[in-house]
Amino acid sequence: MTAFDAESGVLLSRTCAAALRSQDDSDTLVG
Amino acid sequence: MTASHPVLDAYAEPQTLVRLPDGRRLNLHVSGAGGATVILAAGLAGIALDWIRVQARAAQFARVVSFDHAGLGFSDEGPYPRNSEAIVSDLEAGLASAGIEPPYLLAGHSAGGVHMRTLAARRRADVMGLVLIDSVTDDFALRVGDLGLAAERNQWRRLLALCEAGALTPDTTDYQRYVGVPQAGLTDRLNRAMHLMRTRPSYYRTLISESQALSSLAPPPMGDDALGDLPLTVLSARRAEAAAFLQGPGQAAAWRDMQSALARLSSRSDHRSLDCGHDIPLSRPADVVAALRAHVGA
Repeated sequence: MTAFDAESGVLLSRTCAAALRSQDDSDTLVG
Repeated sequence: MTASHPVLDAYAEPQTLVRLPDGRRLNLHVSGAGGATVILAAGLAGIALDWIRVQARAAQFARVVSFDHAGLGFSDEGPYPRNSEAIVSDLEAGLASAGIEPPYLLAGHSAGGVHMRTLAARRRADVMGLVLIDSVTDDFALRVGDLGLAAERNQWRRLLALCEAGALTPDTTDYQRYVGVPQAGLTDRLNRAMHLMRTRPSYYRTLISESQALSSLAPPPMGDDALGDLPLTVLSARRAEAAAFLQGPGQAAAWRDMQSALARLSSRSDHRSLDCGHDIPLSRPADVVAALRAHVGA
């Protein structure tokens, strides 16, 4: 069940994808 | 490569290492403040970092705790088997050690939902609500069929052997596919941390054991209203077929039906089907945060 969604990107783990996408979250820089 | 980034780099090292009764250390990632504490449990092979998009937002109105299961991330390896009871026992001891008191709002993604149901059953009086995000019932194998867990464990066994032989090295295809760093866009420190996390034998031993425990969840299935009147939100993926572990429209339909079954576990539930795939904390963090906010009344 760790195999990620097609929408998350092939060959990119969920954890890496979350880290990458978080950089677009301009509202969370203080988090 | 990004030289540094304050939010990402906070995950490149342990944040709050708490000592468990047997001396092991458990890594909690704690942020925000508020009357209620939101506990976030990642799915199989997930760590606190999986919640980064949710936690930073939710910390604006609540205290939020994500954690690395024993053997993953920055937490010490634990005794086996790594079943839900073991994971939850560590979490309970870690929360006590950190002085993080109830009430707790529990949120679990995928297999993390099983752990949060386990905690809710143990600590019913301390739990104010439950958010299950594209999670599974205990009888998921009967409902959905083979999810490829055994095949995935075989891959991990192979990677464990490579690790133990010192052969999971950056020049190999296996490393590039399964360790998967460095990633352009991540910071140097986070790339280095993820390299260390995923090249330790304990990482693969833990994944194999957690997966085996998931495969061994014992029916009989939970009856409707098993959670009584505990406030429950189920967030599910309308595009279940996007998940690589579901094969074909039949399995995707059964997965969606299973989400409805989860919603029937409480007499006070709200089920929202989102137009996305399985990785909801990643793709739809604002919807997860909205559900958390509704529970805590912020």
